[in-house]
Amino acid sequence: MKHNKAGKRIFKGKFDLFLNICVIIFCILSVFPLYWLFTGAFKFSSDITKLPPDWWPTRFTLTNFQKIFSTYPVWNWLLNSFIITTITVALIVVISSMSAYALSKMRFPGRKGLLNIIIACLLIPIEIYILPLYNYVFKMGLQGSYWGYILPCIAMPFGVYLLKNFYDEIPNEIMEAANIDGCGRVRFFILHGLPLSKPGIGALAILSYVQIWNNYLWQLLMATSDTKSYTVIVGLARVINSTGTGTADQALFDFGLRYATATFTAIPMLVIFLVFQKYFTEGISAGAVKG
Amino acid sequence: MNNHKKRRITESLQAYAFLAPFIILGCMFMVYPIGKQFIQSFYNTKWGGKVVFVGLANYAEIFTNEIYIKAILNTLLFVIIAVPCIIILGLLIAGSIFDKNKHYVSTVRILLYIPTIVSMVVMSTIWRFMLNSQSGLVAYFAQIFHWKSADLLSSSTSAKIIIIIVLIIVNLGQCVLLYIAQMIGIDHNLIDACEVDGGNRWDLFRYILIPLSKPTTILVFITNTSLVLKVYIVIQLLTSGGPNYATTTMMYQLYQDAFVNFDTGVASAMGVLLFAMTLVLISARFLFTSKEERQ
Repeated sequence: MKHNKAGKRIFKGKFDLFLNICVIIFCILSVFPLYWLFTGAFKFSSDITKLPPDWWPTRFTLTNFQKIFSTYPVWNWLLNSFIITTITVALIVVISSMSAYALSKMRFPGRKGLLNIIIACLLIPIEIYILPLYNYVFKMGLQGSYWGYILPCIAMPFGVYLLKNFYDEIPNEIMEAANIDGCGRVRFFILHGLPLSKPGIGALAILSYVQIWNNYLWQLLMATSDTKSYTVIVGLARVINSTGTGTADQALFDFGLRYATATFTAIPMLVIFLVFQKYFTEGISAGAVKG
Repeated sequence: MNNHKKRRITESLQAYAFLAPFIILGCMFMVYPIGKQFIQSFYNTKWGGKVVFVGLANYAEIFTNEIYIKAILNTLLFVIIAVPCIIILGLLIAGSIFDKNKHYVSTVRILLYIPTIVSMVVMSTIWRFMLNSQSGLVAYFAQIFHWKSADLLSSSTSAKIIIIIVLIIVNLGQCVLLYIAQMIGIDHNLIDACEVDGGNRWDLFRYILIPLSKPTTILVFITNTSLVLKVYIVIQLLTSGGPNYATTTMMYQLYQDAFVNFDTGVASAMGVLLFAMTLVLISARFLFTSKEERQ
């Protein structure tokens, strides 16, 4: 990032100060709910609902977490989310990079049309055709199986688009040199194409990981009545909406339990984000700037 | 020459082979359902599973039933208010920090992006806790400041405002991120010139940042409109469309009809309407990109 002359700050003034105070307020607004959630998870239920509120857990407890581990199969949920998301993302990366490579470096009739269709499809979310898609997948007998979660999410136009932008950056001369050497296209793709687009693949992997993990509506429809088949976010929504029936009895008005479940759900993605933070920034900018 | 032609044919065949998995899966799980939905929107499933052709009756139902009209108007209202707010706030936030200390910039970026990462389900859940009329934080503030009502989700106006605020907070991060990436790339001579001329930050905004960020603004506008059009999770977890359908949206009604009331015909027609709105966005996108290429 470029800095102004020797770090001297420019454009300071009342307006600038006011704006930066607003920025800080928005940062607090966006993170405070999470702070409230995480600290709430370590409070007793009676302390969570206390007015005036405890801004910090004065009586620290782990009972909420013990309770969710014994009441709900949360580890199964986490494992489901992990398996589904990892397989989906792996397939997205493979299929998208193959298609992107063909679109960027090969010549064939219908290339331009296909590219335009993919760009158009970028804006069509799964929610819009969720009913026929659900009926279709249900008829195939895939509801509740991992493939039901995975298959409809693999063909991701965003993935092809993002990686095509990365392949476009690789000069065609490298390709031509490879042809003279008698290196076939398929071999060239595996030996040189894939490694050259590594930053793009990293960005796509991280962005689609979050998107698939958080794909609530589809996961909700794929979950069966067996609580073990839930993913974490479907499980969380069920815990939150549970009323006093069956095993959910204890969840009724048990705020501690709900705070702990929400915390348990939030943490995996938060960790992934903080570890790979740099790639998110790069990926989002790369996928968008050429709009 | 013949050899050349042969090579081109193999190249095309190879390209199709590379594209085959994507195209096949895309047709199976995207193109086919979209087409199927269009056909289904002209049929209705009666009790007992008999499918009857009803022509445009499903669409007529949507445009005459008060609940569906509310759903459409609410969706449009959320788009019309939330999207410009996201754009203006994103522009102001990015524009007031992009030239500051590197660590400050990346901290703000991370903090604002966190709500997007932890999923709408978690964020909506927490907001629901905080808005709980008996024990939430908002009830506490209501007590302190002597507000009339602590239950903000029970009045239709305040419920709408809450939904819009949550939508803004959840979607702001990505917008800021895009603007910062774009503003860092602006030619520094321009910014220096503005400084030499004695401009303040408002001049910087007016003459440099806002005009030069136009492509990003268009992109942010289009992506956020598409995000707000399909808003569902926030509604389900915060208000369930209430009070008295004041916050119901097209997507929420679609889900209710499809999976709760099993009214496939109307749900499909609603899906087609959402698809049509998305098509408008898509053509807007193509219009802007082709305009830029010509310039």
